[in-house]
Amino acid sequence: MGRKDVLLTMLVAVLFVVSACAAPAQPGAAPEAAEAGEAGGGAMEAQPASAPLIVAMYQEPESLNPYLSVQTVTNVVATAVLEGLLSIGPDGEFIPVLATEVPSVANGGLSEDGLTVTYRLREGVLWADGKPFTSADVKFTWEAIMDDRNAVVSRAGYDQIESIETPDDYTVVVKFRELYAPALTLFEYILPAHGFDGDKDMTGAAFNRTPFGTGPFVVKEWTSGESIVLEANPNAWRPPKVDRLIFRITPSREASVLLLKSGEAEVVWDLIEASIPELQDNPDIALWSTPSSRVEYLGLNLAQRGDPADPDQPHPILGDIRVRQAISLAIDRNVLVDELLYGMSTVATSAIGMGWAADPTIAVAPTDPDQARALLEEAGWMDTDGDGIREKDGQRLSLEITTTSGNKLRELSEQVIQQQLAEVGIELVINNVPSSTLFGSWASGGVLQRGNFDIAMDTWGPDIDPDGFVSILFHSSAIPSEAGGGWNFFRLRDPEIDAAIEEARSTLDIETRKKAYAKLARLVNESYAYIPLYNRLLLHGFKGDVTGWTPNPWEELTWDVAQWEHRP
Amino acid sequence: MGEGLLTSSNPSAISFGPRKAVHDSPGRRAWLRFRRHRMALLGSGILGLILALLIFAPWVTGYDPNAQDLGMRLKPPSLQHPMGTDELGRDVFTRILYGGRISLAIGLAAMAVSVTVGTLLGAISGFFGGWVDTAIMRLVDVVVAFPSLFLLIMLASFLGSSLLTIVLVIGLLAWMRVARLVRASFMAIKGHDYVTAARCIGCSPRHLILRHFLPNALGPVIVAATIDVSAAILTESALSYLGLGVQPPTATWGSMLRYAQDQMTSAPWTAFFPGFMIFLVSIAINFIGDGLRDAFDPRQMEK
Amino acid sequence: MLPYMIRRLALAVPLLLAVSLVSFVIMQSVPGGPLAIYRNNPNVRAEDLARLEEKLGLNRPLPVQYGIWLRNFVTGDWGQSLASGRPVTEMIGERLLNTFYLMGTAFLLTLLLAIPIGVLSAMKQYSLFDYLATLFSFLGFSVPIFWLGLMAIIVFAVELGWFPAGGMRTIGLPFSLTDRLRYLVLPVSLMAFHSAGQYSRYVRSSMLEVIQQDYITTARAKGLAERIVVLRHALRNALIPLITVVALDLPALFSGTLLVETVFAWPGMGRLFWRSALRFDYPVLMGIIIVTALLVILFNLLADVLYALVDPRVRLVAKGAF
Repeated sequence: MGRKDVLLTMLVAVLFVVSACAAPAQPGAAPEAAEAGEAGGGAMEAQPASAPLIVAMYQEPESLNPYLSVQTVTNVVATAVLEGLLSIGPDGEFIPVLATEVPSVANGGLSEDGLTVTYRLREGVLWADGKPFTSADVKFTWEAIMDDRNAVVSRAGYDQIESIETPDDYTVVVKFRELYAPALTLFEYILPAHGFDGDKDMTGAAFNRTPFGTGPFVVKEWTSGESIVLEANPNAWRPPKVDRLIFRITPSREASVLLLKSGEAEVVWDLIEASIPELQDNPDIALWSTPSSRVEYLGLNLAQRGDPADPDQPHPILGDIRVRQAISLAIDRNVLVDELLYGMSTVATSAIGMGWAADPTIAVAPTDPDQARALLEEAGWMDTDGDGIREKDGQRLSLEITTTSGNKLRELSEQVIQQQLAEVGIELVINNVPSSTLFGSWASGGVLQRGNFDIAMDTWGPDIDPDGFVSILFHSSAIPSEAGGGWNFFRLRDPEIDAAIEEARSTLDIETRKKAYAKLARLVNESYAYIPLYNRLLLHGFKGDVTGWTPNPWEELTWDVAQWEHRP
Repeated sequence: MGEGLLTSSNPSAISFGPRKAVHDSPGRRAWLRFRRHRMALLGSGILGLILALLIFAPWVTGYDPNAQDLGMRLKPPSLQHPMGTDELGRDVFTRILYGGRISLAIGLAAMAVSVTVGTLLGAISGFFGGWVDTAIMRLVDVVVAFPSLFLLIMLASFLGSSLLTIVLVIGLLAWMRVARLVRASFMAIKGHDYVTAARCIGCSPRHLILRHFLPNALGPVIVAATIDVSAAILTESALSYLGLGVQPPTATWGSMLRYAQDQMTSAPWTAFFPGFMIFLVSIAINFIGDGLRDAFDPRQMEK
Repeated sequence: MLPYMIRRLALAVPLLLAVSLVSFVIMQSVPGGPLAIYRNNPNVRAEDLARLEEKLGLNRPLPVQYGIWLRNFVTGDWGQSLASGRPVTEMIGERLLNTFYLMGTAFLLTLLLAIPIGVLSAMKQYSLFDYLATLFSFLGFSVPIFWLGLMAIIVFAVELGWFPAGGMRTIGLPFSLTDRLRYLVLPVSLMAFHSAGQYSRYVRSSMLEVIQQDYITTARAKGLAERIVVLRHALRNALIPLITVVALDLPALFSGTLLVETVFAWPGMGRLFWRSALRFDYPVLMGIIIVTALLVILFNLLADVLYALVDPRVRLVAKGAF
């Protein structure tokens, strides 16, 4: 009897604890409830009448300090809060933001030797807390980036700066050690010096989670895994048209789309092409879309695959350029674009497809299965056993294709290409791996770094200045090795390519650089180690009652957030 | 199965004589009992039908599961395509059939792994007790203590996504429940008078385990095993969802479901049929398991 | 009993050590690493990666890294996230509450459904109720939960607009119980539907076994009312297997379920863990694993103690070496 009572008591106790603990969890999880409580019932009426804008995004920023994180989502939020000296417009041109003009040799902003850049700053701009924005903030930003106590992700370019001088509050003189061609792309975000109490150690600063800047909004509250709430910046020189901007963090793109459809969000960040049929026919939804500089491409391994591969040993199949060219000829890129991308993007012509460095005269690579077959036969690959796949010296013309697992568009593309190659007698076997395995470091056995693949499918594209991109991907010094290297995982070694890259980076003269990049793009295409497929779309979804946005392939979704209007 | 347990191991006197004469009757009685279980019969019927369709897939459908027809993308069900077409214009019905072969094989194989490992360890633990029990139960604790998705991700990225890996990974992360149930049932029966009696008259541990302990554990284990099959099919779909499933173009019901996710409202048939098949198969298997539980329950037999 | 509990708790220390060591080794041996996400970014050059490795302490030998982690952990410093730089304890703490809030509610509803259904099913074996209950349970655990969740969202949130499609509360509104409940309805009923079936099967199964035992027959023979036989004598023993099963599931109260959190956009532990795993955020992963492991150990101990309380044949102190 007694024992039974103990049991019952304990069971009841467990249930009670479960229910009792659940209750206090609610106010605990909602710290703002207390604040609202003291305002009493009037809290709601006191709120501004305009509807908030909710942006659903399937990733959560790690930090809102854009220098401590290189995620795109970080920049999406940070762009609504912080501003840079310059930004890039939809056509790839620089636009002054906190600077009053784009420095050039003509206006005296650029020295003849290209080593000195002088910015004139906009006067009268205030930080969200009312303090004036001055040249000291620009200098602080650079110093904080270079401070060794900060885990700044990339110092590319900033470490080329020799000094920054601030002759007055509205002039910044940046002196470089040597010519740095992409100089104007630096200082995308200016941090307020007083936001860190002048301390250049940004580690653990409150600013990283609740930043404020000169931009249209300030971060009020960040609830991990749930939302980031922004309010209009009262001192903004470009005031926004909505009072509140809320970023809702969702676990997946599908969840974001469902929020858009159920009316719980007005904007969805970063859709994929597969959502197009789902949203295209919906009269309440508009798509923000533009082809981007990111190109989906096939990377062919020129070295014999191994773990690690030896760059001096040619690949037994792909080492022959005729086979590589046949692969390019066998692929019908229009099918990919028209069917998988619903005709909304474009076939890619080269590694540098957009912006000032692109050469518009480069034509789309031809599709010609007959020529592909002829090339393969010329190279000695015949189907002798009648199974539809060619052989040579007892070896099957069978290659493995790998990409990041879990990416639907890529998996569909792979299957379409698989079928197209089968028609000319090439067998393609799909073996996808998690992105951390594909892009892992040399030491951790990364597939691309070690060269342990035949064909890889990936998306990559240049920034507005392609120098960093082409150097890390195509220069022979970027062939991965135990000692380092970059992302020339094709193991492509071509002195002409190296020369073109070096020539393009040796000057600020735009015409010379254009010519060098055009030459480079053609050489890379002719190597058939890099086979461009299509330009990836940048795609976001908007409710029809949100207006004022303009697609821009070079900046984040929120680049023009100050113009967004929401009229339900 | 019942007969094998009874006749193979019999050094002791009590099973001699009368047992021999009726040695096949428990199995037959179980079968009779199972036949009375209407839901189990229904489950067997459904599963049998599905299995027949899967096995004879090449004769049931005229399509190749991987043949693309890009002009026929995402078409709703019709006479030519009873379950519609998918995002590459492939026949969904055909992919359901061929994908089902793989999904079911994964489910059954993973269940076999988890039940074998679980029963073995649970039996050893529950029967011998003492430090053996402690060691095994602490092992269970360690494995349980890891969030299984973490191990799934880590192992899957370690070993790559082959069918064998997926089966092993799912199976080796699901045996703890069976082990606990077997052990709990062994411990519960230890104190029973008839076990003490059997021990006293000198029954060997092997005889005790096979004759008294295991049959007693059979019910819960069968219930758990059937749940494991459907759980394994579901885990496979979760792995597919996370991109760690089988490689394309091979279909499984899980991978089809995952592909369908972002077109659920515009092409609902691509999401509905794979999900419904997972549901149908697992409910059929669970009904069968339920029938088996009732049929093999040793104390029901003695009634 | 008390010495047994103390011994079991003492055993937890080597167990936790083993768990932490194994996790550490597994994590470190998987290709990738916390810097993998930067590697295909042309602006993050080799020198940036080297600097970050140094800064985050990733270039030290592994035994040293483990040693440092262990030393700090023991002194209460669980470290900072490699990704966000926030203290691990803070990150886990805020998710624990959210998860418990969702899982606790679901768990309570599950038990409230499962036990009566299981008992009634067993008492009226092969009756219409038993068949319906069986059907209900089987429907519940046979349906892929994320599939059903998505279907439910499409029907109840997108089409009908009765409930929100995801989240925990209306962001920006002051706390309101009805608002919170609206967000709970879909995920909680789904989870209860999913696991109540499973639990009620265990209750039914062991109930059936128990009511055929001699002492129940004796109790009935003594002329006790059926209700008393069932509640006092049978149910008590029938709950024993349920306790072992429940104990295995209880840590999920805190560790959450990734699939439900993912479908319903709930900011819980499951998603924190998943995100940290993809990001190779070692300190966060280690923290979550240790918390989970500790909970498993505690709930197992609780199960064993409850087990001994309900089943007089089990004596904890008598269990061999331990």
